[in-house]
Amino acid sequence: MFYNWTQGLVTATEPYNLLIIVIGSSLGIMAGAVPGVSGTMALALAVPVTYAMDPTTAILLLVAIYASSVYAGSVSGILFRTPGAPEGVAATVDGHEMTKQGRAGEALGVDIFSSVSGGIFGTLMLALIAPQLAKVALEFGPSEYFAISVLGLSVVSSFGTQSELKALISVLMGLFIATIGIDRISGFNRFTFGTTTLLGGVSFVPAIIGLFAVAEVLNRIREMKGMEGIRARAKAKLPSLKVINQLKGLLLRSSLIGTFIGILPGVGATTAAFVSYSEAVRWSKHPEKFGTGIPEGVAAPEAANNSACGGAMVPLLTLGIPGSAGTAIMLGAFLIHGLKPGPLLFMQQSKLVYSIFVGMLLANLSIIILAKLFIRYFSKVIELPYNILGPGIIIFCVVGSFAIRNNFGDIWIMILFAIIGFFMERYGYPLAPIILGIVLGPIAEENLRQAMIISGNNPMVLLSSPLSATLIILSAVSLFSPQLRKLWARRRSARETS
Amino acid sequence: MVGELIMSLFIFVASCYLYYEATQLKVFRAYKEVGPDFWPKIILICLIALSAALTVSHVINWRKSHGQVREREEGWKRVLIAVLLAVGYVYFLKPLGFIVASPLFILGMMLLILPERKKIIPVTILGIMVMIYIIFSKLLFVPLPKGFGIFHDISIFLGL
Repeated sequence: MFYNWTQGLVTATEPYNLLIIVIGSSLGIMAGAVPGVSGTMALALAVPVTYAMDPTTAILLLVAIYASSVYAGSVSGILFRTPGAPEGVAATVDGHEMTKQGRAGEALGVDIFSSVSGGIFGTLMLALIAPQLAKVALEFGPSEYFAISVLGLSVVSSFGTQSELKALISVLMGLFIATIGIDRISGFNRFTFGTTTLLGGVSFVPAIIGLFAVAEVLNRIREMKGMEGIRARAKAKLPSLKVINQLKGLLLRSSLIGTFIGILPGVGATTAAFVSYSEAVRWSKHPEKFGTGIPEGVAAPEAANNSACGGAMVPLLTLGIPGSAGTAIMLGAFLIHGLKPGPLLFMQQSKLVYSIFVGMLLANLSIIILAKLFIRYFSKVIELPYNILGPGIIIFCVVGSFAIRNNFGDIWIMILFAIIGFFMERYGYPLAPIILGIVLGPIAEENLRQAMIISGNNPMVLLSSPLSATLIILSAVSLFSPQLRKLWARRRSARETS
Repeated sequence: MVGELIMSLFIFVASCYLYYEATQLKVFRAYKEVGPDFWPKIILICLIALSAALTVSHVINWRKSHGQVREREEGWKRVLIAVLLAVGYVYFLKPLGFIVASPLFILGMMLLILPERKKIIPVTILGIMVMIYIIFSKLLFVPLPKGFGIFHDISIFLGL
């Protein structure tokens, strides 16, 4: 254990890796703060940049972007009531009120401190829980892996969509897309329509770039909102020891809530922020003050959403199951670099795993320095009109897609997915389930078919082990929970009226 | 409303067609039950059922509103132009190369998004080109498309 930590520390603090973490954190902060450029988009754009890097450095870059982008989502929300990312919405309520009262520096300082402490807490919990869970996961066979991937897929109904039916259609589309190309078991072509471009399947990176980055640019072009950029001046002021002392209980509770919610697949940082905010109101001696501009209203959601990042890495690293769009992109990056997240990763790549832990800690610590510096120059970036940002993003996406294999077919795939993503978002189909489907599809299919072949085509094999049976029942509950909740609420209201 | 109906109907029709394609897949006799068509067929049956349910619910909602719902759609023309610009850019990227096709695309997009801000166009084009060149060509050693014929010569001349 101590040896692993030392190895991780030595690797992550190599000058080049340290530089990459700082660059990643800066990019993450920038992407999280600028409205219209989310952390997920930044991750998607960064994947092609990592091709030339060694796997550890590549993953450290992505981890740093992931950890820091969640923090920055609230910066523009506090300053201009325009959150850069959904995770920052909860902190906007009190944060922007503080800005209106001339306390922007104080709000930004509390934001930084809470985010960093939440992020560090979440990472330490990740380091504590993940290795233990990985040991248990070593016992899993095809049935268990199939059940786990089904559990991962079943959370789509809680992916922040208004229609569960549309979320299910999205995940099924992702699962279907994952079947395109040569079948890994039989070697036969599937749905390639005679093209060689599709033989290797739909390239993951062009697909995510198209869905998340270019589709968003098209959406912004359609709406033409915030095209001129935003003007502002602000300076962050870290909280005093007295304020920290007042907030310590709240920070600990919010970080715990955030880590727990983060571990649950599909329930990410945004939910963590809102749950933590409402819990802070419930536990407060002065609940009426929330919403009027108090530091607690910024600290609670920010500590929770940053600790949720560490939590979300638990299922990714131990089981290879991503629980959010961001971690799904990271899973794709792992696979591109020849790494397979799961229990064996802890045995075969312990240096990498512990480098990730240290990298996440360093990324969180770097937020303190970078954020203060960044906020000073932030106004310059968000003053950029979208006619500079939009074309820049598209060119970056085109070159990034081309860079994978020097193949023009990948650019066409990216464009196709951008159009698909644009229409899906326009008509209320969430995009994250598609990515979840593309990533988990091959795991689910391979393990299901393996389990069936081993058992002589007996589907009951999936329920033969207590763990896989439990997981499949949990998946069914998770899938139908929104309908069950509605039914329950309807019955209760009918009983009350009668 | 109409757009949503068309979208769900499109998914339904596409799923039916893909299911037909799945029935045409080659299957090993040894793995007949769990061949390459096994998993896609499960997915497509679910997709057909769900998209049919969604289409029916859209039709019912549309009927309830007596076909009165009219969406005020704005910006479609801009999106269409942006998509055409992107498609044209990708199409001409191969023959013209990065150094010629990219400035034309950026110019088109900038005029589309904020046509009144013309002064910043040359600086933006130069900035984006230099940034992409440094990141991909110099730092990551990714060869950018050079184009054919004279465009290839221009790319070589400019050090791409």
